[in-house]
Amino acid sequence: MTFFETFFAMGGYAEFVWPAYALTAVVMIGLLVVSMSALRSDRKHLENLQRHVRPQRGQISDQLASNQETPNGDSGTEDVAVGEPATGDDGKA
Amino acid sequence: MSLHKFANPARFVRLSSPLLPWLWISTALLLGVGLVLALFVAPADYQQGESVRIMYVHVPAAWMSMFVYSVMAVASAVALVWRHPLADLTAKASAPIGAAFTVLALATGSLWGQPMWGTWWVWDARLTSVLVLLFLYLGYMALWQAFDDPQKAGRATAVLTLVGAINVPIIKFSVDWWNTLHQPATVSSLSGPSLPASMLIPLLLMAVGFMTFFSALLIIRIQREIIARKIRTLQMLQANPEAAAVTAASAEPS
Amino acid sequence: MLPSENLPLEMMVKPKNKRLSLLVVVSIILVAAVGLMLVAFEDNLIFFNTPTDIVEKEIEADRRFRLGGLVEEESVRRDDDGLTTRFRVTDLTHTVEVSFRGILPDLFREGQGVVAEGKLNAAGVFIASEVLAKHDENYIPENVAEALKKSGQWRGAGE
Repeated sequence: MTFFETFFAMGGYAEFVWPAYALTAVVMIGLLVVSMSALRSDRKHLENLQRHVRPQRGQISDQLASNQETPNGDSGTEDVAVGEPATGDDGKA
Repeated sequence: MSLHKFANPARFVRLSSPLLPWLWISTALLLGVGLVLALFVAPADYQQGESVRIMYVHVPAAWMSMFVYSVMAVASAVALVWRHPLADLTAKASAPIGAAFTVLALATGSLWGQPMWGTWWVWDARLTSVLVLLFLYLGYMALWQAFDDPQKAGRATAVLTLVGAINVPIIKFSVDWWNTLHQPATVSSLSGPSLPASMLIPLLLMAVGFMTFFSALLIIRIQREIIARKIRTLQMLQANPEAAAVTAASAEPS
Repeated sequence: MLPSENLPLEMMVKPKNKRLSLLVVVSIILVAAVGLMLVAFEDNLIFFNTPTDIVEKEIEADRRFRLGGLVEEESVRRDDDGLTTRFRVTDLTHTVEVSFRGILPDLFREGQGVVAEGKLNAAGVFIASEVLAKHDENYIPENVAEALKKSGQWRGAGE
């Protein structure tokens, strides 16, 4: 057997070792992609919103948003009808 | 107050963003070198043969599943007691990562258990307590979805996290307190690691790599939560400027 | 602005301390409660019984349970049918005779840990329906183990 054949055979445990590594890679890369795309789409969404809100309002809301108890969390769906369509709900939802 | 000064979300974004490239570079290096050592250099085990290589992903994933929960527990305590503005967000951003690591620990453990133990799954104290950990993560995420008001959701989920935190020492010590099919700790045993350096080094590289991966991912996810909150405030302002302003103002920190 | 922001500092700190002490008290009660529960349910949390448990608990025949221990050295025998394996499980104090029909896991070896599920028959032989291998927390490179065995310095378990 060549080096690579031996390597991929994993001493007869290939069917267990490779799925373990593949699954780990898929889950970790998946987490990264989901988190990045959620951040990107929310960033875009926020820019759009800020363009539509009068600047004065925008400043106020920025202050409010940086406050701890500001009543918001997820890009909730109940406000969708009035604002921009809520893109990128929580990636895991 | 000084604590709240540092907890300012805008400041968090400003301070954490420059860390990201360094964290990603470290992650790539650690996991890259770790994988090469784990797959090509590390020796086969005298009992388990090549199947021992599953350890290099299973053990770091299992460690992270407990570590991420510990981070959430600390964040939840801070959220409940000090009302730290970033604490809720940290816990919320961590949960899916922790759940993913727990799934990985269970799945890779299963793939290791089948050839070595002769079974995919047993209901021993270690495996069962890790399954409970997964349900705690899933319950946490479901509870967030169940509330419209993030303030209430933050409180409820923080309480859930703290109650569930008792499970972390149970997982850790289950293999010592009860007899289980899962073997006791190798690396953190009192007599020192019963693992040769040729196996310990790749294991630790992978574990540290998982840790930097988690840190970078957590920063991204917290930044995203901050933006999501801003979006919500803006949408409320647009819909009903007066009401939103009043609600926001009345919710200012005490 | 909230009224509390105009209050003296010690008044502002109070609710925080109250929440902190509440958290500490609730946590202590929770830990105590879970601790008591775990002690109470200890018998159910145990995955297997050792040969000594069997002697001490006097487990009756025909009750299903799991037996765990080490496969005694030089005790493994294969019946003529080629399927049934007989071996003794020991915890170094007591031993139990085990009979198992089926395929053994890769790690099943003399001197290694094992967990078998089944029941005792009238003769006191444990008739296993499933045998799982248990491994210890020690990892040793294959070539190191071989070299040690060759030089006669081997003190570990296994063949």
